[in-house]
Amino acid sequence: MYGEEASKLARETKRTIDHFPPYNDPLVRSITREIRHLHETCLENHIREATQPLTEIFWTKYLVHMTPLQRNKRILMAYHFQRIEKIKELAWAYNTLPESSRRLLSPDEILFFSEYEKQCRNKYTSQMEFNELDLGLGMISPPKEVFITVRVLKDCGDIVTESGATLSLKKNSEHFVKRGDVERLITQGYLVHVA
Amino acid sequence: MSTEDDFLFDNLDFRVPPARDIGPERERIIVDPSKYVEHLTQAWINERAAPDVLQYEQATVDGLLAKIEEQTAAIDDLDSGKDAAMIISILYQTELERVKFVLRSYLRTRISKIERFCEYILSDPSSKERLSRAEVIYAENYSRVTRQHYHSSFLSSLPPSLQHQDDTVFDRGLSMISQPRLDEAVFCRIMEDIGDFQLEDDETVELETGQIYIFRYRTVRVLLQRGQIELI
Repeated sequence: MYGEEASKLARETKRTIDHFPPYNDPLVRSITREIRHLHETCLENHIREATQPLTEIFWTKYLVHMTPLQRNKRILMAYHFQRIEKIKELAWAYNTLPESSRRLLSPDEILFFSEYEKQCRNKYTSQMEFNELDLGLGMISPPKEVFITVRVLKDCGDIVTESGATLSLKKNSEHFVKRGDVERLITQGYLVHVA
Repeated sequence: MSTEDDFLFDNLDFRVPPARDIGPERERIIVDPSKYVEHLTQAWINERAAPDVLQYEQATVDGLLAKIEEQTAAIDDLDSGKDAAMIISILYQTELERVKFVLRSYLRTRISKIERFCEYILSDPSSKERLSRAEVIYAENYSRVTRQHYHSSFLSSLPPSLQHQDDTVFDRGLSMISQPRLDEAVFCRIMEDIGDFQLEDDETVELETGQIYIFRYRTVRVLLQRGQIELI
């Protein structure tokens, strides 16, 4: 039945609104195939009946083919749009694509990540006097204090703080640190702000 | 407490002394430098509440960035040996971080709107005018990068007549280009006496300072641009 594959993709898109599954290449391909098939059928009908006056049957056929075709395309657009939104989030939080996310992206999406980062994010953040502002930081809540306590969720090795000291962040340890030093690691999910 | 400390506390409410080197260019700015933070905070709230992109606050953003730099230097100069200076330093830093937060959030809010309505903004001169130069470049690059991505991901394998990204679904007028929904309702506070204001359907309301209303955004857009109302 026409549009069945696309329905699957639409459902997948909706279901995965909060997490990030691997790119569904087979499904995307089969939907584009269906679009091409529908398009050809439409054209054939059109050519066959072009010489005759347009009948109701012709319009019915046209509608039956055109509707799933357009719906398929819309679903493909929506699916890719939702993924783009997530890739953009990654691009703002990280400077290079983390290995764990790389596996989930299609080759085209990896290219998009680096293009977006280069052409949009970096071009915007590097101009003017934005050097004092790290625009990639989390926008969760305004800071209330300079020093905060954080718990380490994932090992992130040693970091150098603004004052020049080295801080060793081991999994499950807690630290009382300057917010500015670790904010990015919180955004990236290595640390969690506990107090 | 020493006189030096007193001096530090005096400046606490707004920390930076008035700009010393006011060039001829700076004088044209309407916003008083000591009101930058207030002004930007309101611009940020407006930006977050309005469905479309508002005028970029170039002067305020630039002024504030300069102030942030000054203030960072001032914090570095504080003698960290003394207890009082330490406390003041922390207060300064907290405020600085909070100002930076608003600024960051303001810029990112704009960026996210620009991404969402990218194609629409680029095709609409009056929206495009409201962006900063950097934002226009951003929008253009974003449009190019996403088009490329859609194209190489799947549009290139469709028949040529179907490769556009701006079709409307036939009969139903559903466009693939997202536009800001100007009919959205916004809450606003009236900032000055406006008198009788004409709503769309021949109805007028009398607007006085301090009143709070819920209006259709499209109707009060002009007032917001003139600064006669603020969104909440």
